[in-house]
Amino acid sequence: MVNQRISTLIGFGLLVLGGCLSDGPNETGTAFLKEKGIVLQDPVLDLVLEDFPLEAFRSTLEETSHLGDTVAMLGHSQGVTAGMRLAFSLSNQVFLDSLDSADAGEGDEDGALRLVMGFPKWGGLDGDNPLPAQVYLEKTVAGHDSLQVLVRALTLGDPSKDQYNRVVSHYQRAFLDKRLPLDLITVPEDSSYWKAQEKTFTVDTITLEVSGLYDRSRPDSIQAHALPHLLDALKAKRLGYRYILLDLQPVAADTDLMLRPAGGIGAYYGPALLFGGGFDPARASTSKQRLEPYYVTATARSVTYFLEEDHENDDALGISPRRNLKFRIHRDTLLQRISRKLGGLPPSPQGEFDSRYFIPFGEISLPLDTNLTRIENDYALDVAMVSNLDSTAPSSDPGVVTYHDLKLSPGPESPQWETLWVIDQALSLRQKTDTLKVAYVLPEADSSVRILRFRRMADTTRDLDSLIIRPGQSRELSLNPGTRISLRVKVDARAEDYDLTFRLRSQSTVEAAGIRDPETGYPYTDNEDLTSRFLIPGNPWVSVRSTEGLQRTLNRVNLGKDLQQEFSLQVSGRGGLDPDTNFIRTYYPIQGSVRFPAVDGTVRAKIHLLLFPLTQP
Amino acid sequence: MKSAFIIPLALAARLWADFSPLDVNANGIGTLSAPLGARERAMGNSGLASTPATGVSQANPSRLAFQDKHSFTGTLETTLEYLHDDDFGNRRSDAFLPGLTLAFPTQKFGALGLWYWQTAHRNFTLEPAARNGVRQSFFAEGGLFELGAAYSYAFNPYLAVGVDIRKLLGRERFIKTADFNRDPSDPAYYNSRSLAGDTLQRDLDGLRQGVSLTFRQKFWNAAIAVQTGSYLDLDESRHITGITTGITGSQEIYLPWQGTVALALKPKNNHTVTLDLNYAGWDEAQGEGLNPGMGIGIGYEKQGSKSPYDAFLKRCAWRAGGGYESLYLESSWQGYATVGLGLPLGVRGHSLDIALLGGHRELGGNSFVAEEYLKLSLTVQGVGVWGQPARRRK
Repeated sequence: MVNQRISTLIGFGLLVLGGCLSDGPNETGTAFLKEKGIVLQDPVLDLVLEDFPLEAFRSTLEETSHLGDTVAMLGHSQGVTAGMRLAFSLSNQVFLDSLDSADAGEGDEDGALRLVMGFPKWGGLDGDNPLPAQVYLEKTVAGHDSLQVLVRALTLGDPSKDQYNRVVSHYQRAFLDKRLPLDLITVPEDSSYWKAQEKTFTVDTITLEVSGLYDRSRPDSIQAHALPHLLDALKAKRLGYRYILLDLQPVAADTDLMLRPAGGIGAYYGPALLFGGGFDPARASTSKQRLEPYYVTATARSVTYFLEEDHENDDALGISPRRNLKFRIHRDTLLQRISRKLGGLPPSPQGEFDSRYFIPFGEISLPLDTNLTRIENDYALDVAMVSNLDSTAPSSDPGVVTYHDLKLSPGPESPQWETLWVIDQALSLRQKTDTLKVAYVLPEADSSVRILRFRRMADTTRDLDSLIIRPGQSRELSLNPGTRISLRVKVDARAEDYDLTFRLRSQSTVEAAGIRDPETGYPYTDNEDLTSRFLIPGNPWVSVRSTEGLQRTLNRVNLGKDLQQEFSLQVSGRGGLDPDTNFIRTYYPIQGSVRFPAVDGTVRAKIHLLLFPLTQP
Repeated sequence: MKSAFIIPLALAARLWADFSPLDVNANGIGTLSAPLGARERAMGNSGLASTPATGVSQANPSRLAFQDKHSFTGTLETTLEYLHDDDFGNRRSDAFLPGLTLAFPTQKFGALGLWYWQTAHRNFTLEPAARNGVRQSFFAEGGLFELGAAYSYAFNPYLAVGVDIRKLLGRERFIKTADFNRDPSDPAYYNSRSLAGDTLQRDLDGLRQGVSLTFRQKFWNAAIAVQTGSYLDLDESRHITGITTGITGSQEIYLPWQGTVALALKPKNNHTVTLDLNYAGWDEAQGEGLNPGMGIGIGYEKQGSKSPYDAFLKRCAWRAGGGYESLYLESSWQGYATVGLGLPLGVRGHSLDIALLGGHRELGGNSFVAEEYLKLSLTVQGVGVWGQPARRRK
């Protein structure tokens, strides 16, 4: 018993003694560490590199999905054509029966089958006063009376429910996701069932009333227009299950009018097909008269819009359609410029990783061509930088930027498949090696376009993805072949029709863009506090955080040799930021084209860097 | 008895910073932890030739052959340090559990010993005050751990031989951090990304062997123990915040041989005087700034009475000693004095050994670093006689 007490006392004493000692910041040993090369009071080097040349400066179109977007675009403005696409699933006989209640002729606005569209005033009101965004929307239709819209329709009929869902899924992907023209949608080659599907094409023209469309003194416009040819097609055969695809495009491509109709929202404002005549569209019953686009997902309706440029703007940052600005920074140039500023650099270490400096902060400022930049209503844009460069060495990890050049001649509808890429096992969630195949197709139905089709070796029965492209266009495509990392393939067909350059990249990094409040230390959340990162028309520069991209540019020795790095400047969101309302983002998508001045063909940026010396291993 | 285990374990869970120039120096293996229990610690880090000790001695496994009881030992160390250099001073403390041993003597077939021991450790933190809004720090952490097995055999009551094999596993990390975003007046610094760690990690793996002899006489004992030099596989990798560096490397490093010569004199019954000489063959070939490490330890022990009927204090062992070591890092040395106590725990031979060591450690040369330290060691021993019939009460 005595022994136990002594042991307990000793242990308790130790515990108390240890707990009483204070640890904390200290300096003891600093001199020794410096002697050993572990320098702890390194200065942070603050450098600004002026007139830094950017290489491979260009922009490419990104395939942005607008499926289910609340606000759609329809019209033609600033060299961009906007078309809408809607899909309906008709499986209730009650709708078809109602077609007999009225017989509408062409031009009869109160026909038995009508397309209804809503045009809310997206700008909103501040009390009784319209917000600037709404005032601007009024201006966009000033001087216009109407917009003629071509409505192409494809109806698919199936006498039974067999495979109906499969048909819908296939067409939905081709028509809504990939935005293939109706007449270029092909059916799977492996089934005669698909080719036996009953398909009917029809074309109608509707005239949207535009005069005073967004007038703040008038109620929101809901318009219904007859589709007589589609009506005839539906009445010709009373098949139990029908899938109706509508492709809306402005008739005249030279008008300067862009409407923002309601998109993927149900009831009242949302687009719908009205079956039967003589009733108010807003009061139509959704169980027998008003057929709304079906839900593709739990929240997204099968409504989308797509944008096509009249001409390539391959040196402009774009919003609607989204054009991402691409450029590279030459590593040797960066090192030379840093060396010039510092009066020399430490010797470069051996190996693939340059461990001389850590970059805690990097920012690239791009000059704006204020004369050529066009952004609707001079809205500001929130921009972000994506650094498409992984930090890993090619020998240890395949997640690198590599290029693959492939010469393909456009082939017939049944193409030859070329191996594009072997997807390495490390890229695959399932740890499998797979092969990505590509085919370059010249469709018989339309010789003005090309189709790139992608497949996985593991699943040759269907396309993994496809891309429609015109010769000379430059497009981006995101592929997700069941891998953990999204593959992105860039197609560059500018030099020659058949000369394609694909880029495989992974682990792209969106640069952190948060700005902290010096008072609280927390990131700002109000847009009015974030203006230093915005692209504001009239300002001569736009500055974007690029820490990780610059970090990797400096640290990766093989850049420009085994590796390629790329910066991608992108507009965040599709709305603009209204300077007159403390940079509130507009509800509706805006158009804009931002240009950058080139001197002797080269755009030059300003690079702000913090450099922190690293200890050599 | 139970509390004697719980408290050391609770203490071991708290790891505080420790300083030694050896911890920081990437050459070598850090600060060495003498493979001695609290008994030998109390005798000036000597006593390897002294045979009344119970338990496995990793430094001299041969003396295990003279024991007849199975035993378990667990050792805890805690150190209080006052560290100072030319400009600054600081107090620190650390605690760790350096070793556990198991001894299995047999009647006729020699004895088997097993142990885990932390032979070296790095545990260093330097966090200077922030300058120009940048706060930096440096950490060295990890250690070299040994799993050992020894067999010893006594040819006669005077001579025992031991052979052993040791598996060495180590992990060390040297971490440099820098926190830049402390200055709200500068937007670039304030919104910068901190260097959470520029980390160099070293993983060590290897084997080494040892042989030892103990001579036992009535009035003196002598022992010699040698551990061979061996090559350790060293894998290095470097990690930097948010960046995969791909910097890796494999090489071998040489852990030099080391040896001990020990003498124990028994001028009177229950009195022992000990002298140990140690040598480790470090030199420049193993790393810049390294030289042979050597030390001398002298100790005294008055053993306690074995009779359970004597007073408690009479049953305690009393110890004292001192020593000097020239450390394997150039221009570094340490000197110390020790006192200790062996407390019996019950009548079966269990005990708690306590050692208190006061020392001065110093690195001379261009940058002077010195420390005064107080080290408290505790070793708990549990003994038993397994495989034999229990004595029956009449």
